[in-house]
Amino acid sequence: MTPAPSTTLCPTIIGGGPAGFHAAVQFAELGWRSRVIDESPAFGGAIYRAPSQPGLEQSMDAKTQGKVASYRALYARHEEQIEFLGGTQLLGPVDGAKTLGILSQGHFSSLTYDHLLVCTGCFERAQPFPGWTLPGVMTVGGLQLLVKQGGVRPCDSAVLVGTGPLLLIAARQLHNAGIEIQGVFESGRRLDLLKRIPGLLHGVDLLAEGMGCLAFLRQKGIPVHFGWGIVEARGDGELSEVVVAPYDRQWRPIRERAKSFQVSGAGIEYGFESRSELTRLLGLEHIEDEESGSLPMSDPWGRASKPGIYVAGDGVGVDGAQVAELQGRLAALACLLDAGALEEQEAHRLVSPLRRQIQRRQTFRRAFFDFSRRRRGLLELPSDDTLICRCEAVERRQIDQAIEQGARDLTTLKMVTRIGMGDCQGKMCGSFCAQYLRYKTGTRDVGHLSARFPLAPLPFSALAGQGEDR
Amino acid sequence: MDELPPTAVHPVSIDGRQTEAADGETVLALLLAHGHRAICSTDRGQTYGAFCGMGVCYSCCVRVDGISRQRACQVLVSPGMQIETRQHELAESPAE
Repeated sequence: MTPAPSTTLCPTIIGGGPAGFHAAVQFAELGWRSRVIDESPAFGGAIYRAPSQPGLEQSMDAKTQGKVASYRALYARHEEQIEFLGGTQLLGPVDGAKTLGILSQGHFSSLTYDHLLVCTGCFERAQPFPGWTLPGVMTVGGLQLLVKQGGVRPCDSAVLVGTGPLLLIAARQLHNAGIEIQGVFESGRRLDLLKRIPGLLHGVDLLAEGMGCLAFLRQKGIPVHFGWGIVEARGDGELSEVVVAPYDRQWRPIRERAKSFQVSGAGIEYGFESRSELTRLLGLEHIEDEESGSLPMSDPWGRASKPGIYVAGDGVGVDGAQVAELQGRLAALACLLDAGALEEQEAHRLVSPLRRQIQRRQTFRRAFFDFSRRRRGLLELPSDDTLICRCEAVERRQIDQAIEQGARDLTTLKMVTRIGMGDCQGKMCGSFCAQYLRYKTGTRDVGHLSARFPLAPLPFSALAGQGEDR
Repeated sequence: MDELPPTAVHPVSIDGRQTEAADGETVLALLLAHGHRAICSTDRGQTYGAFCGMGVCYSCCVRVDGISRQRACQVLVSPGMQIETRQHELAESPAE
């Protein structure tokens, strides 16, 4: 369908990862321009972003390399229609209808949108345990990014601990990057996974990849343990030792059987959380999901609770990159349909295969949910003096004191202890604190840490006159 | 003609010591390549290293060209960049 030359439809897409990028591509394929905003200098998201260092791409694993190349090819094909604003942080809505503040190169400015697609993705949950703040302890994704995109080995040796397929995939990647992986410790039980075979068969290719990783690790002599989890990290100023143990059914460590590993690195991953800061600032309706956290409510096409706003990708529920790509396309089609730029019949024709594929992939992903569901033992891991809030250095004992003094919701906890008041705005500590509060007090609804403008630290210098040099 | 062109390098300094960084490298990758892991000192007295690697945890903050609170994992090196690790933002109290 050829767009009218005088049209001004140019949707704004927040996030250039799999969902946002594919939304832009979908718009372009139908002849429509769009504008993509991403904090990073390149699209692709944490998972498929090309390394900024030329030449590093060759050392990525074959699958990632293939995806990076395919994204680049797609972008090259549609470059004319896609305005990419990289290196740009989204600060949130500002005065004026449909206006967002952004920070780029140390300068603040604003942009207005007519249609908005929010594809902000997810991040790996932070799981506090004794010693988790020692330099050297990272998320599994963090280790991967340094190897994939940073071209650096963050450590010589490591253990990977947590739950879910990422552990296996990362173990293979990190091993191939020359890191000695001394063990992979999956807290889920093998039996729980086997019970889910029917669901897993909805993603035969992904299942094969997982089995391939297991076979690879076995061949390399890298032990993979099911039903084991993290206990503690130790070191003098930096990580030098990790303690793991078999977990009971509630994921409490059986400490008598704990094992210690002398490693300089550790990747700890206990789930992912959708990024909903912007959607909350936009005043959209949300639901609480046990796995992914606060999710913006959306209809099956990705329409959020306010007209003209669409959501797609891991930000609407962590279902992985493949689902994100499909949802990005879906949201773009919904937007075009609503804007009168696409006929209903044509829209349905394009949408049906997308929704079928999404459903299949989601069935696969959800087969892991019970296997990887976080049990209460994780809430008991921190000691008295374990930091829960990194930014404000709040220890667990301070949270216990606040609870003793009557704190029953996150906002009160924040006021009393300062959790959530630091630069990360509660991304690292919020979810643990919410679960801990519920667990310790029996309160079901502990509220939220309110999202506030600006979503990223905004220096005063950024507000100096436009075009002024520092 | 068959060789890949060498990656451009930039002169940078880490805590006052001159070194070279590859074009397109993040400050974090550079620091790790030089064995610096404990790089972020907070005003609460903690010293952290990179945790999430993707810009959400703010545990890898360093001072870049005099500006504090720069996430090492997000900042790309540039020629002449001065990187300082373990810098508090608040001044130490003279009374203590």
